[in-house]
Amino acid sequence: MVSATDDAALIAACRDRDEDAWRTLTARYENLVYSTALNTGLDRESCGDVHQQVWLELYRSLHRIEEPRALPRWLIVTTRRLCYRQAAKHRRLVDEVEVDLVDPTPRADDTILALERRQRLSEALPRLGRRCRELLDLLFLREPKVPYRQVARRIGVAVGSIGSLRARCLEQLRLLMEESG
Amino acid sequence: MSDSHEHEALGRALGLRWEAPPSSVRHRVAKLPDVESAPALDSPETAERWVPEDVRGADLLAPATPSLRVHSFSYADVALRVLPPAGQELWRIQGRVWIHDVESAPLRLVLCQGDHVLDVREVSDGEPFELQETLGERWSLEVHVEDRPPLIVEGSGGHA
Repeated sequence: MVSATDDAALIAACRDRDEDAWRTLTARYENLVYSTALNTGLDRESCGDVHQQVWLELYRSLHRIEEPRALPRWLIVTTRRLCYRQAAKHRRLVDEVEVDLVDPTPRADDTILALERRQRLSEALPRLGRRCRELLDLLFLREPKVPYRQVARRIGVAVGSIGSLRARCLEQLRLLMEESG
Repeated sequence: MSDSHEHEALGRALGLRWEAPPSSVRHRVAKLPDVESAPALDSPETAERWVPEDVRGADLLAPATPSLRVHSFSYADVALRVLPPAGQELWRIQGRVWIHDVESAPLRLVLCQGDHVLDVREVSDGEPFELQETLGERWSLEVHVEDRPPLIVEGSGGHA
């Protein structure tokens, strides 16, 4: 299970240029960084560039980390700012329009909270029971959306039971996330 | 935050785009960067605008809590958190039991140490409970639901 203590140890090891620790740290948060970039609307190529720059800036900032538990938020904020920067650069190249580059949301807004929550979700989901994992996957993570009737058949319950089962599974997920939060 | 808001927020988080970077992107950060040769942001002054000054914000984060586990059985899920005693206090076992059937009878919880029953409690489906006891190295919590086979979670010290 991921814990803040793990992050603290990894960060300390990364400061000493421990390659294994760096690989573990990037593997743990690469989905968070890349998905944060995707959710700003940038194209995939630009998201890849931002992803690389974020990890470089993190390495440069390792000595300034005072609270390892805030690392996910630092990664989200930095990724979003660099995405705005990247998008603005592209816009300037196209039509030379001057724009305000800086992301005006240094505080925790809904998207940052949702992304932090999504990171904790990715850590908590594998710890759910098979039935709940399957239900939440079918309800939320499939594109195109799976019809309720099909979800009910796959899970083996009546259509009318999906709502309450969904609430229970989300409740379990919330409890699991509380401890990693 | 109310449960419905909580569920809404969870649903929103689940609905966010969430993808692993392609292997080509992953490969670019697989090794510790060489900061000497790596491209810098425009200048030290402008870099300040893009990178937060430090990594803090502990006040926004919940304190670490003891381990919570969800145990999945054929007809129910049992979530348990075991809190070790502080000083002269007792062990605390907190949790909830969710029965997969929507309509279900009351549940009986039986906390055991070997052949000894330490506590018996009746709870409803999904209702939070807390048991306080002096626990030894090995204990178990049995969940009895009508005439179904009991569900047994084995515990050891501070774990379940």
